[in-house]
Amino acid sequence: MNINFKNILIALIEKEFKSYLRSINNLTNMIVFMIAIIILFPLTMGPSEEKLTLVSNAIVWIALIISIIPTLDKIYIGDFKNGWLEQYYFSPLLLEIIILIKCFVFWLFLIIPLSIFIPIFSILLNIPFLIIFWNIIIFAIGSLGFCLIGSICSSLTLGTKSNNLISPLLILPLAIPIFIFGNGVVEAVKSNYDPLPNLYLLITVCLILLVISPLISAYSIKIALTK
Amino acid sequence: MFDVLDFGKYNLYIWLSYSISFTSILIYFIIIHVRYKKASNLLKSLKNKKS
Amino acid sequence: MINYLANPNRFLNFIKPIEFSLGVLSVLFIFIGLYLSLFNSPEDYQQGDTVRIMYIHVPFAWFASSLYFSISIASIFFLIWKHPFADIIARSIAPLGLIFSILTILTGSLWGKPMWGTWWVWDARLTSMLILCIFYFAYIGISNAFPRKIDGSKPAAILAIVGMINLPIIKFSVDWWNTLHQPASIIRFDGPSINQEMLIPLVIMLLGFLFMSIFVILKNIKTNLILKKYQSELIKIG
Repeated sequence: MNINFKNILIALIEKEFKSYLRSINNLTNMIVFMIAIIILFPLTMGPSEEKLTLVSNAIVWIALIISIIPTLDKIYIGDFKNGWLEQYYFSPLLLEIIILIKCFVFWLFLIIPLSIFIPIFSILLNIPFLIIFWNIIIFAIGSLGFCLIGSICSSLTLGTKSNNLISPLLILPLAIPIFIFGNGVVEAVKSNYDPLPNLYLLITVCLILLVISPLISAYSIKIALTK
Repeated sequence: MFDVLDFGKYNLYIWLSYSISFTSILIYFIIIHVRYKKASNLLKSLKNKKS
Repeated sequence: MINYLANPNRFLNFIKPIEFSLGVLSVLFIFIGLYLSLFNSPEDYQQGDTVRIMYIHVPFAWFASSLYFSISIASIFFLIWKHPFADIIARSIAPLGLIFSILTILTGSLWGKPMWGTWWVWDARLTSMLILCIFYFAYIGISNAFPRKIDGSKPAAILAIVGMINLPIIKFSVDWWNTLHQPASIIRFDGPSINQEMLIPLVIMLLGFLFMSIFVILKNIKTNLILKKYQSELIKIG
């Protein structure tokens, strides 16, 4: 078997897939958290329709984001503890590319299944179908940006003692553009304006993150490895 | 858009409800039948190995 | 009789002759019920044909709650007398109850869209049905979450008993609160208030689903007993 770029890439993707398949725990944790938030909101706010329609979209988004953060925190911890990150550091493949692949597989395998639950929860909260459609698109793009930000923040906290959930403090300020542009798309859809300009801005933010996140994450991982 | 699927008197909602319910019940039947067959084959192979 | 049947082997011998006829009876009743409900029953004067969803929605809802009640009773037996067969019975009922509760919510939403104009509303009965569905998921989850499956029996039993509080809320929610869901029209103090021509197909569907549930539960019990025997044989071999 030739040791070339394509084979290493495919082997890496397969390894990540298998590790996520073995710990289906992550996915069920996220889903259960989402269910808890979505059920608690109408029960505590009272079932009046007017109040629910004002905040229902925000509820779905908050449930998604808050349930992703704990799992996102652990994207590098496993590999750091059993030594795989050092192997990645010394491999012929650039650490940045490996980080990019890890983020992609994380996004594809753990975040995209959550988008199956967006229509279900949106129907529970009576969100119109058009907004559900745009929610799924914004979520698919914005969550990729979110994962890239999460990789920066979890690589910064790699060396700290575990169970420190300080990554929300790091992730949320950096993720503000994603929220703002995502909200812009939904507001435009609600008031019948063109949602595409805000969507393009969202894609721009995610593309910028696609470039700078591997660089920063690789730098922080090198610092954490050489400590 | 869904009016084209109204067959005669029975509108889309009736079709969807009945078909989803009975299809899922049938799939569940198949699942428990396959599970029963696998379990009894397992026990039979163990008894054959013992004897 | 319960003491006689509590021995798994005697139980298996007891149900062997009635299993096939149960299956046939259930298919027969459900087919007759389907024919009557879809073709031979009257339309509702305000809802038109959409009322026919009632003939599957009501049986699903009844059985979702009744099966959960059966799981709770089996769990009480398991906790008090510590008989492992009660735990097997409870585990065998749970998947079917889960499917019934999910189908109740699905058919209810599909009925609510033409009738009330909305897929879902957060009133007492629908929310408690959703809680019942979550209890089923939790029961199945916790009974299979331990490394040795036998360790999960007691926590699952406690969970089932704790969830019994939900059942009176489901039943009486339409009386106690002002809800969008229709009030009770079959099991009432004054007798059923539903039309006779609609009651007959409903009762036939109920009986059909009852026979089907018993058939499915018996098959699940057989499978679980075989798996348990397999494990004990493995331990004996060493």
